[in-house]
Amino acid sequence: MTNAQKNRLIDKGFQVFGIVCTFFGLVILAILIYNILEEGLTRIDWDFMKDLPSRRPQKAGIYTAVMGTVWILVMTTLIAFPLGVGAGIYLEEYGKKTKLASLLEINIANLAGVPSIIYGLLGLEIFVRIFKLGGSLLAGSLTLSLLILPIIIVATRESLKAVPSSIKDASMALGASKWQTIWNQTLPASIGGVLTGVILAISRAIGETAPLIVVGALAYVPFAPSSPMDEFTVMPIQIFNWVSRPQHGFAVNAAAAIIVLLLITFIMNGIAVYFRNKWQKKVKW
Amino acid sequence: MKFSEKIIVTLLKFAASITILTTIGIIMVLLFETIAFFKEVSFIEFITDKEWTPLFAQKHFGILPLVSGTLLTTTIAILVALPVGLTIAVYLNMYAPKGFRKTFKPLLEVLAAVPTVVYGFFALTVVTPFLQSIYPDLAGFNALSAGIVMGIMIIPFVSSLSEDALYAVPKRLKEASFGMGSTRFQTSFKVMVPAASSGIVVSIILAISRAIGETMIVAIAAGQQPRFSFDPTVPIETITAYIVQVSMGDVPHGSLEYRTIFAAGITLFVFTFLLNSISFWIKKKYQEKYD
Amino acid sequence: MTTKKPIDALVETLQEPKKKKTIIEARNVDVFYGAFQALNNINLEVEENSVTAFIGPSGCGKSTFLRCFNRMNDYIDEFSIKGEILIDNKKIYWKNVAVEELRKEVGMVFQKPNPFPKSIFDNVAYGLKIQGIKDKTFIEERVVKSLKDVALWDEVKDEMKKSAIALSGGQQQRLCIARTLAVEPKIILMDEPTSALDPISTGKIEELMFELKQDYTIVIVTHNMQQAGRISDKTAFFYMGDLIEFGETKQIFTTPQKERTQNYITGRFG
Repeated sequence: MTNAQKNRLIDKGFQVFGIVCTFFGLVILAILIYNILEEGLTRIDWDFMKDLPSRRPQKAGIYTAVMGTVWILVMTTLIAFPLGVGAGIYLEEYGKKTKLASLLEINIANLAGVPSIIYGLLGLEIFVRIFKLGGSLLAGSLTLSLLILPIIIVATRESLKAVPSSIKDASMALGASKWQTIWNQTLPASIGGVLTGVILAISRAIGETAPLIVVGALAYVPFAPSSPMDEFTVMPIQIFNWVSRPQHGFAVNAAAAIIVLLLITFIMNGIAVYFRNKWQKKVKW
Repeated sequence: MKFSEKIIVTLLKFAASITILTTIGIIMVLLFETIAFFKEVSFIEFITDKEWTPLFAQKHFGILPLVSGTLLTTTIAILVALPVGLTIAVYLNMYAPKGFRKTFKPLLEVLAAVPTVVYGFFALTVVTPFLQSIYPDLAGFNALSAGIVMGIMIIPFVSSLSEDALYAVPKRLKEASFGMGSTRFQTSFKVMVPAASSGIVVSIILAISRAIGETMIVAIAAGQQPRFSFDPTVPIETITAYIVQVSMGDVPHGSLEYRTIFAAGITLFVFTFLLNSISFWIKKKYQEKYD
Repeated sequence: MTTKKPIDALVETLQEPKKKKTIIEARNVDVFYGAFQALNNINLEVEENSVTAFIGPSGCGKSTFLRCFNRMNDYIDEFSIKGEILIDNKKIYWKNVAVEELRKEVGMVFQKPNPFPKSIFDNVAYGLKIQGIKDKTFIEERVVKSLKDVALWDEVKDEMKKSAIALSGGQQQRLCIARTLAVEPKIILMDEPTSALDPISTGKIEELMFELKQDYTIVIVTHNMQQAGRISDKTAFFYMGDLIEFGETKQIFTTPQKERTQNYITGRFG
């Protein structure tokens, strides 16, 4: 075999290996989904959705967990959305090139890499103990908000950055103030990217388990929460709780709950991708 | 500037400064409880004792078993994610048709969007039984299965970020290499990967950092037995899994057991902080070089 | 369009031949980007209702100077200015000047057409809306008038809701001019407004400038020597941050006083 033939063979070989690797992850994902569907799909019915937790797997439902997740989703959005987008706007449009800004930038990059369970410790000490919020929805939402702030800030900055400066110049030259320019031009032009980032961040938040366990979300909550100060559980914690039990019936319950959780996660990701594509198509400068 | 606009800017600045408060808060909380912890436990014992049994009658406070457990699962995860992720990155960038790349890159990112508790369930109920069918001595809870699943989860971290880095390499380098008669494979590993090396290294560091901090997969599938060992077939416990274990129980605030989770937490924080700082530093340096 | 009181107009006609009023005055202007000095001691006056062209090779400081008149340089890092610029006898770099107010008086048209990603109507109405004007009929009238002034009305009157991005390059630039006119500035700055356009669109915009001169003062930066010759009353030639020569366009192009000007105009460099 000549050298050139050998090289070509290696090249072809790597191509095959590349395809194999690309599909490796996806095949595993398919196995995971198939396995969970096979295990849990038949368990999902109306009773499962509206039943309270129980010691007997056949009687247990995910109502309190679903309601807890919905509460967390709404409250975390309400807290993190304005804070994250506001911080992103400040960093990208106002605070540039100052010492504070470069400090903030390093800081946010670092925060994005802090493990979620550390946020749990922060929430436990600050919100649960010092603010005396206990293991409440509010403490949980505040903790998750801090966790996803860096994601929202980075996404906001990226989208604002993508707006060409010519648009901003045009607005300023017409006598618009900086804020008027941001509010009327920059934000509307980048809203697709901002929303994509926010939705992805929220979807990350509702899949989180560890920080909420640390702040004291309970595995067993007999009733659905009715106010931000109530104790709560969420779907991932309910799943974790069922996974840790020896009886097979609970594993089935866990699989069924996972189907519901994955459905929510994938729908949110789908919406995010939709926004991103729509936005990319619309904006051609 | 108008008065109303000044208020808006102040509010925005406040929002931005929350992030600083978060960092200060994390460091203060961890330090405060850890200092209290070290008033009762010697630092030397903490870093040299090979046993971690704070919840037993016979208490030992050596962090090494938790650290070894964490490093073990992380190493296994990286052994899976690095070759697979990097191969995907090179394949998508150099070999795959454009449409393929456009479809499969986001599709792979779905792997990172799956809640980790789901992976934990998968590791425990599918991967471990499968591995046991090959190697029957494998324990029901083990580092191997948790590590492999964690590796699958972080594949997109490596593949997407590395592909971004390859994508940013100037076209002329690729063309120059092809022009000299190199194959795609040679161009990939002799020209493209070296040119994109800083971006690739950053992606790997981020993946490692993510694996170290990952909690639910190991809490579910790797066990709760702190053990200073690098045997992947037996139950171990990671730093994160320990924090979860204590949090699930009813440990009174202010007790020594309560403080152990902060001492464990600060160890975790130091590891990830160092890794993040290195990757940030590489990124900055790289930006200066090419801008 | 003019805001002159009838009595002023009367006085002006009586004083024929009138001496035109100075509207922009630059006194000893130095501009720095950090340590780099971009403009050296520029002194120049612009008369009302005239077209003044700034010419010179790339990097000579002509655009920088133009952007001083509406303080668009404020956002550039390390930008600093010495000396004084007066518009309508008011110092614009005075610290109490509201730049937003200044820019309503001094509009700007940019090199590349930069319509907002909004409808044609919203583009032209934008300047009025940010001033807090809510009167719909007033806004509508002003939009229509502005579009007519730039001869775009007939082309777009049936699709006012259409995105401005869908217009052709030449139409976009005329829209951008209309957008500037809608705020009724006194002065319009144009930074190479036709450099991204085809010859036909360029011709239309040059024609337009000639008409706008009746009501506005125009200062234009251009790379196109013929353009400067065709449309401007006065021409300023910049080189390496210095104002080399400033005078009647005819004089600059036929009998330049300085050798540098001569060389540039005859195409020997630049």
